[in-house]
Amino acid sequence: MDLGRIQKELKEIERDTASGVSVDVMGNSLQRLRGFVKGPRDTPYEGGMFVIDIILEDQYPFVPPKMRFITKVWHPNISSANGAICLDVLKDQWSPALTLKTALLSLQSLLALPQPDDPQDAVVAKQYLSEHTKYAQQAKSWTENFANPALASTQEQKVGQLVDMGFDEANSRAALRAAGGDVQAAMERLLSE
Amino acid sequence: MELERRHSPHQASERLPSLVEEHSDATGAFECNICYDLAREPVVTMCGHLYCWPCIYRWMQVQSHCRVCPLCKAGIDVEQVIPIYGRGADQTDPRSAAEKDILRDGPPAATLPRRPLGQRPAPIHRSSSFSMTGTVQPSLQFIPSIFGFNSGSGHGHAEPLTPEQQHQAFLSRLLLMLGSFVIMCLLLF
Repeated sequence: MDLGRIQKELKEIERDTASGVSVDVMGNSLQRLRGFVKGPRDTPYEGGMFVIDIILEDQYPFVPPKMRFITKVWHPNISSANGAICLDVLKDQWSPALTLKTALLSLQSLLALPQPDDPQDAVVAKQYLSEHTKYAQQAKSWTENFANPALASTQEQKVGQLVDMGFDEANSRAALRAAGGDVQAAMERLLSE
Repeated sequence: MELERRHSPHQASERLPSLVEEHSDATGAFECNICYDLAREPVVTMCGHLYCWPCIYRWMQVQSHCRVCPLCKAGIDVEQVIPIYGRGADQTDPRSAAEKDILRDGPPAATLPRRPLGQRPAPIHRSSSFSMTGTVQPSLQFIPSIFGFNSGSGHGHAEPLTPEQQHQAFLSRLLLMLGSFVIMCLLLF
């Protein structure tokens, strides 16, 4: 893995505060990162802060970074169930000249311009095409409920706490969701499993 | 706003050992577009983009069906890159660089071939005329050349001619000598 390049990328993202995307490091390795994308203006996602799980494989930048929405989002090209993203630059159109920042910016523009003809979530795509106002309402309410900036940060902190205690990250996240965001209850839930 | 502050990667990169030192703008122009480091064994594609030879070679191996430049998507190939030989370069043995790659990147670099060699096209002459003057009073140079003198070479400006140009020069000189011989015959007899 090219640590030097990733470090440079992180520095560059840090320097640019105007773009509305940022990256945070999880733990000590540069393998697992957190991306943050601001919902674009004049869209149902405006005002939201979307958290993205980023996994960098050893072959990065020769293979694309693995990205997935952690924040639940109502969008034709993003799975409403697991956050999987359908975006060409994260698949066959990746090039090593692209970066984490450009990938996150692509996600931001995907939020602004959904591509319902190449959907990831068929239900949302169908709604987007046939009942557009209903789609916009639902996307907006999901943004308000799940992509709240303050919520996103505290949620991440809570997951961080549980991970620091030694719990698996995916399990911690699920337990937190089940416990309604209460760390103590989530911990008990994890221990009883 | 609060989130932005909390999650700004500023803290993150402070926590990490800084492997990256600040580069000036001058060296920035010579950084590889893949590893973001100063290009080692630099090569430039036909579309003009600079890469380390190991980086671009590895990218060409990763792409299965169609090899394109990472930056502009122009077609690229192993034999269609131009090496850059700078002063002070090649001080490290390329083989040791390849070894380092094996340690760092695993098998793909183990088969890294040598960087393609530079091409050496024949020099192109600005003037197609056989007299080599180019700039200095061509009319004066014309007379001696009839008699087989080539004052251009006398000035030390001679450049090697291609076989085709030599042939042309020889032919025109022969014709001129024949012509002047005929005129002299007419005048004398």
